[in-house]
Amino acid sequence: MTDERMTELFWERSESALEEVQKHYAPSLYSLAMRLLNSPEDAEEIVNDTLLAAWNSIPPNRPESLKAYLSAVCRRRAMDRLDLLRREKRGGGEIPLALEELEETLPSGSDGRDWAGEISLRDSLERFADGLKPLEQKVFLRRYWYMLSVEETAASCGISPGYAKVLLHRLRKKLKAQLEKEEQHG
Amino acid sequence: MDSRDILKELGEIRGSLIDDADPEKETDSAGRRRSRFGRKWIVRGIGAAAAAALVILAVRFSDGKPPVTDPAGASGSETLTNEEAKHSVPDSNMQGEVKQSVSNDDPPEIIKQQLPKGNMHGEAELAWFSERELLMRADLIVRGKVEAAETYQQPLKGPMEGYFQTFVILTISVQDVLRGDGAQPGETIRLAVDDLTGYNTALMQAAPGAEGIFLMYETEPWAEALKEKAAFIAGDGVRFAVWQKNDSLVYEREAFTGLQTDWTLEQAADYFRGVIGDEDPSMPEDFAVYYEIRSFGKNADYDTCRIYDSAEGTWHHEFYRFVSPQEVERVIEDLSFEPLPETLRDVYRSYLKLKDLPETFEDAAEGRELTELVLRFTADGKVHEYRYTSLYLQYMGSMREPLATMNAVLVEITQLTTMDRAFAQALDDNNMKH
Repeated sequence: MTDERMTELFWERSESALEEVQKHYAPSLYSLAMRLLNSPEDAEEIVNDTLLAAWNSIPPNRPESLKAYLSAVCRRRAMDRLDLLRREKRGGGEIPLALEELEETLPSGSDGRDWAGEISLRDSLERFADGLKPLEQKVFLRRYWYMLSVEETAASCGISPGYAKVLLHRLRKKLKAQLEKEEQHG
Repeated sequence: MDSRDILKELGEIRGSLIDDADPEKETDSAGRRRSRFGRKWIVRGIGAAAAAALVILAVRFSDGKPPVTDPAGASGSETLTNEEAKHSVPDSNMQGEVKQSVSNDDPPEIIKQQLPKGNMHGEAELAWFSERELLMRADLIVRGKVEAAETYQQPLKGPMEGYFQTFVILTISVQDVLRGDGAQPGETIRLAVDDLTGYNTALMQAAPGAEGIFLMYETEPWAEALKEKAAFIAGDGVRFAVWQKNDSLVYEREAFTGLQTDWTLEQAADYFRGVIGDEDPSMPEDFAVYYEIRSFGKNADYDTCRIYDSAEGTWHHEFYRFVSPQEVERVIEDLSFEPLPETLRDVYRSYLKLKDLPETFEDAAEGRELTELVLRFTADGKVHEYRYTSLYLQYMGSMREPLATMNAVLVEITQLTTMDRAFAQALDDNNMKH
């Protein structure tokens, strides 16, 4: 069944929408949640939350890519759950390492301050991703959006882990430079 | 803002970006490992230590003054450089051949170190060169518009008492010559260098706009000869380089039979093949080489490091080079490229020479420059590793066994792998194609 048809089922308020989404996308959503949370029980809950959130938001939304939409919802919820787990000193998956790596991208002197006013961080990150070459884009997003490990990222992109590390380091530096520049110029 | 904000906001980017990066929709073209192309004939032709490919180094000084080194004064922090993989070099002559590509899209970030001005002839200032490449020979053959502007000599001390080290400053840059700016139409430029450090430094500098200083060590002063336009230096233990320009290959080996100015590429390749040996050893399919060479000088700022891993396809090099009379820059380079099968085969031949050598060797001398080597081979599922620490590794290799053999093999292997990467780089940078 295509994404378009599944989206239509949501719009028709047909419960078979959920069955179809579960059949097609639950495994990937579960994998994404596991990479973030490293906990089967939490991951399963997140997938259920995601399906419920999809039911409640489609309509009015009509996502262009249902999978990307569901993945984004799943990721967001997993990140929120992670905050809770960290307070309870549980979970983590790839996140702690990713967070450590991304520390390098913070503009100098960020110190947790709120970022520059008119330019949203999301827009900036989107511009950054748009400006990357195809391989760079895949490597960066698979590591920091899909939360694959460096080795998994490398394997999925057909490059060596050593090269993936080098590339990620370079991309983090590039992101930092962009964020600093945008912070200065507003 | 903290890194969590970045991770969180990244989750909100446009769906199409997420979709495109979805690992589950990997296609064959995206998933295929970058392929590595190469100029087969060059690598075949120059596959052993006896046939070192090489590079020009030239310096232009705005003030006409020579460079100054001051190991004691140099300081600075290092910046990691990352160079991304590849842009391919189309080559119409290479029908069916594998083409080599190494990407150098971003220049390495470097930290330049200001050195105090002074007299470069002072022995203390040049001390860190004085212990290098004691038995290296260099033949520099310069033709055409490449002129030796200035030369400087310094008598060496210690084991090299009675020898001289010579700085040659040329008037034209590598790239000018390679681009043909420095030569008359139809003229062939040939350059040969037999100097491991200079060679590596030179190769690394063979990028557009690169300039530097070439250092040579000779057993006799030849400064006078260099002042001639067509300078030529003879020496025993000749190693030579060939560079293709204007569709002809010119190769010279003065110390043996005199100048050979009319060899074709094929003739030169045949000669090199003879030097290497005609037999093709049956290289195991899983053959891989890893080496890690670290040199520690008196001053930590001059430590160098080179790591090559054929299985991973990674190259890491930390070294110093001059960028102006008073500036030395530390360069850190990280590259990824796949070795050519020819290179690996030649390295395998070198590896076979290491049988019966001890796996560890230590000959440390305090207070002097040391080289530490880890050399690891994988073949037929087995791993064979050598670990050597010596003052003389790479320097006085011919003086004693087993160091002499290890040194010779190490020079071969490092030159092969350095050339593999450097040739690709230089060819790409100079659009060298037919």
